[in-house]
Amino acid sequence: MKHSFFKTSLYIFVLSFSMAACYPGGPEYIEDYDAVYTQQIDLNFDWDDKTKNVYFMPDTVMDLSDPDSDPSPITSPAHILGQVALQMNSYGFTRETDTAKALNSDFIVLVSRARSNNYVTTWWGGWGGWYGWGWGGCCYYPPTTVSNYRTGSLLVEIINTAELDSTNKVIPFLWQGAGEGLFEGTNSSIQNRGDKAISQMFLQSPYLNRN
Amino acid sequence: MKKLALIAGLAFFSLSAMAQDYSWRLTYDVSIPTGTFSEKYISQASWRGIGIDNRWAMSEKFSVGFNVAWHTFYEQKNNQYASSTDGSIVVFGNQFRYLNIYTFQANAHYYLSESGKINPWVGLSVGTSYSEQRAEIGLIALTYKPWSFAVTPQIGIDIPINMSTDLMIGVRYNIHTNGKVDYDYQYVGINAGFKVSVF
Repeated sequence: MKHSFFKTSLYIFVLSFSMAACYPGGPEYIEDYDAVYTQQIDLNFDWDDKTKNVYFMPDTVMDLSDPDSDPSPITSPAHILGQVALQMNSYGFTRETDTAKALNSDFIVLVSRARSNNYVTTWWGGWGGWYGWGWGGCCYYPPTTVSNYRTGSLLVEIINTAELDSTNKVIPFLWQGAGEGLFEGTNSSIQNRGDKAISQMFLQSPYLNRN
Repeated sequence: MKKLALIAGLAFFSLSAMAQDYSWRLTYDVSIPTGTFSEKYISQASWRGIGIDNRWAMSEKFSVGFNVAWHTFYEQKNNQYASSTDGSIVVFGNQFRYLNIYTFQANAHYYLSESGKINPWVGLSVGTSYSEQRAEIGLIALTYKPWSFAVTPQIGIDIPINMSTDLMIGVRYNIHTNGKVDYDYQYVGINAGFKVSVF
């Protein structure tokens, strides 16, 4: 049987690429996009000194989003601060509630949140949707779709009060934890995922434990 | 001088090859991670892989040629921790780990028999590979794209179907060295496909 080199090669390559169409799986659920990051910022701070355990936390959750951004936040600041206080207290910290004594505490805890819209423009049909040059010499552009995925972040930061330098405006961050994910789903789902993120920040930072 | 030797070598190879038979092999490749690659990155077997193998008969018992392959790996690992080298940064979440390996190798094979009902062979492929490793955690992805030295010892059998076509089954041990992570990509490949001989 005679085969030409190029005919055989072509046959093999066409078969190869037709088999290459399949693609592995990936994230399926909203929760799959959740992640918790923690960072020990000041590596010289001695967390083993358990006598430092008093913290002050302002009763405000700073919103880093555009004030007019959609969607509006779904969880009350009181709930978020309550969750952070719960974790801090379970790790043996004592909360100083008197604002006048804030600078006498060992740590200041700041909580903030952010939401953002992420717009993605897709050409309908991808490359296959390109219509090329139309009748009359100019162009038909393929229809486009714009989709948006909304993301949200919760940020908890611990500041070393003793190192606060108001003159030079230096903020001595010791630690930060961030929960990030898609700001999608029902309100209760978003709130539950936020609570889990706060809990996880502390779980993966055992050096914070004062007990 | 080196160029001259290279041209002479290529010319010799081409002339030898023109006078000999050659074959193409197309295989469906299943890959099973082993060693530290399995322990530290992906342990799940891959069902997505394809290989193309070209062999030129130098004699009845010996062939040389080249092979290319594409092997993809994937595994979802839930509730995983990843950390920076000094441990100061920790990321927790579900990880979606991907690896695509594109292999380009020269090969040599020795045939224990050629005209039986089952014809076994042994061989070795040596060359390079380009890999794309990607681990998605939350909304970020950690990527690593190394070029590796790739060596693949292999054994297999050809089962003739007709004058020009054989069914083939092979087992390869793929080793792709890695400089920057603490595991090489190592996996057993089970390859099944067809051999088409060209006379």
